[in-house]
Amino acid sequence: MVPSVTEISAPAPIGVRRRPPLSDVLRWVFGAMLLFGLGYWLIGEAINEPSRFAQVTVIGFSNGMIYALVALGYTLVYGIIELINFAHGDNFMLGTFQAESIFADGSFQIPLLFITISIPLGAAVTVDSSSWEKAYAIGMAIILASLFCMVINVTIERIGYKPLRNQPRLAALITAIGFSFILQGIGLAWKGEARIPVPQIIPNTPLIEIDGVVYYTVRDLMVLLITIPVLVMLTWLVSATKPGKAMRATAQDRDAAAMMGISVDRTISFTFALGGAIAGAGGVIYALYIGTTYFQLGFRLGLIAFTAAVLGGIGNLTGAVLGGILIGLISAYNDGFGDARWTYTVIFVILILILVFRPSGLLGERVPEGQ
Amino acid sequence: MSVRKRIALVVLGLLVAALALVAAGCGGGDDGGKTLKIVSDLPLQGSNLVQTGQMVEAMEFVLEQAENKAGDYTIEYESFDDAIASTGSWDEATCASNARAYVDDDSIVINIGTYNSGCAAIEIPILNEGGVAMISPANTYAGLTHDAPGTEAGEPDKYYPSGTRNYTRVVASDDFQGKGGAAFMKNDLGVTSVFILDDKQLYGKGVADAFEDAAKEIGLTVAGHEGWDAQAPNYTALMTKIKATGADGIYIGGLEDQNGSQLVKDKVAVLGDNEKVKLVMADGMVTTALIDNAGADNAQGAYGTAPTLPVSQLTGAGAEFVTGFQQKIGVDKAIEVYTIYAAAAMQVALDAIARSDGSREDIIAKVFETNIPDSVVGPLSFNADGDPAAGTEQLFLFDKGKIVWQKGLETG
Repeated sequence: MVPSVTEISAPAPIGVRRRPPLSDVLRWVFGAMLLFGLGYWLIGEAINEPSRFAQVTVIGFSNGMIYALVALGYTLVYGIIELINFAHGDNFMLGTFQAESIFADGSFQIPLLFITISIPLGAAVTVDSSSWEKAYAIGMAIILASLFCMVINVTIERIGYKPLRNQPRLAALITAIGFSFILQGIGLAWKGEARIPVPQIIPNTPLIEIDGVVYYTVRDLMVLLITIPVLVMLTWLVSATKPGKAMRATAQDRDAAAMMGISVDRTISFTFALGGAIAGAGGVIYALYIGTTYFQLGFRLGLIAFTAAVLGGIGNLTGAVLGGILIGLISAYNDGFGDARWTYTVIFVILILILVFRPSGLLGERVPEGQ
Repeated sequence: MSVRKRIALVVLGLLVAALALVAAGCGGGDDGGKTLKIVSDLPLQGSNLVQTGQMVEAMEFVLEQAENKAGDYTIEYESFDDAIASTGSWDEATCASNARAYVDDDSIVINIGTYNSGCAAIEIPILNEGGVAMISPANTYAGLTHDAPGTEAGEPDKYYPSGTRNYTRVVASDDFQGKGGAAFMKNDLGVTSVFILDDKQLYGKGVADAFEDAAKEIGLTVAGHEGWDAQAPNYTALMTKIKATGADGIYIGGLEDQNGSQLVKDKVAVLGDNEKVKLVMADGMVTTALIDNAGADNAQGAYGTAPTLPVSQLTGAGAEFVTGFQQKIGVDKAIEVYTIYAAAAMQVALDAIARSDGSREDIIAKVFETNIPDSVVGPLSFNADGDPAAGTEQLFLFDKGKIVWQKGLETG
């Protein structure tokens, strides 16, 4: 059997000096050079054009927040049952669709393949609606889209993942990919294949403007004002509440948790419900901030968000946020200073580098033990 | 809902056509010469259907008027779809398998298609080896027929493995569009420095490269040329960079369905309205979908070029066709830009078959010898490359939520 890397680099017995293998040295030198080059380039741009650098940083930060919101859903579920819930990105897409229904038609919609049931809420809004109407619509959208995505996520878990929980992990993975396509199909039947504009109810009014250069808008602030409470609430839920404790216990050791009287099934469902709620709320924020959605949105966004989760350390909530913001920043810097053609290439080159040096992500993995 | 209705309409249309064919088959077959088959190959899914569904109707209309006859030959027509439902756009594997099916069916002599240049690049070589004529109503990528700025090495010869040409098109290619757009931007809009964006596809990059080449030739500074990623959520960072280059004009070569509306929205958000920083777009963006998705405010003042005559500018046979066709589809429906060109392609096909001996080889030769003085798009003939001898480039303006024709463009 070929020894694993960890075995090779295990500390040598006392008294025996071992030089690290040449490949490791080269890897470090190469990585350090690349990181140095990248830092040099960015600092150079920041000095040359501080105003544009600030602008691009804000854009990257706001986009990163969106990635972070999606990444949280992946990381929550992975942290507890070590399953990459590929359907999460598509669930997020359905969340943006629900937001569009509420803002454009003023109704909550339930897509049932060829029929869509509409429940009127009177929440249709435009940019000219009063603040109160807008607040009502956004509030309704966040609550209803979260509920909607929560139901979808829990249903998927009950139908597709639960029966496979003690089966080889690949089986559940394929089910997840399957659900991803099914949700895309639902999206396609619901709203069609074209990109759908979402009413831009939050104006792009500048908040910070210096010498005619806009640095921060109301819309950027909105992302922050909704994302931060969601994050705080999530962290509080997981760290300070009873269901959160049950979640952590289940993540740590499912059997032991069960022996302590924790209902593992209910805890896992709770995690999926939480993941769905974030997908819904995230979808509303995405719809408000970006203003366009379409049925294939979930695939690429999910891939990026999953990447962000791994980058930050999968299973780690703070890591997911950090990873999301980092990817947002990298892509904005490349769009804003490099060549937009290569943005995804650059993101993944940096991702590979980080993983080579920190295989368990920036803040470290938090996954079930003893499995 | 409207898409579903249109699908239903097309399906109904196809059913009626199929029934008519069965009826014709039962009725006789000895009333005249041989039966030959024309197929059309268009993406009949998704947002394309608004345009392509109408193209099918236009071809059926021309055929009806000719009473399914071309000279002594009885003509059958079948519409093929080169798109797949899951993406709503053309699909490489479907294009290839369609083309193979045409070659294998001896009765098929002409393929009217494709709509997308990328799909044509796959079908032309297969039909070229099989000896089937192809008349495109909408391909504008230059490299399909001739060497031009922005085309790739080995084009167009790599599409014609048999050594002889079998492909013609009734619209002018993108190199003319690039030239027309660059001259308009410099001379009429007074732009001094332009930033070019393309969607990284065969068509979009082709037209953007042609524009870049033409711009440099006439002394219009090119501040940069980049591709946008259709799946990116937004393009504000990219626009920030464009702003820093000081460009006073932007040229977009690409398709609206590649997230083009988001690009226009972010352009206006970061760089200001289209009066301040001028925006000129190639025909892939000149669609009402841009107004719907980006909003009339963001599209306001943007210009678009297209190798297609607007319905309002048609005269003679074209105007007659519009009157008749409008009755068929209903007066409340707008006639889409490429519909007229699909009708023209069907006219070319019927005309060539009528003059031929009915063999695939002779039909190809006769298509190239086309000389119709009064087709629906005016006088129509082809050069040796298969391009229209007298192509046209037109200028449009997005104004108050409408696409308004402005004038013909100089492309010399």
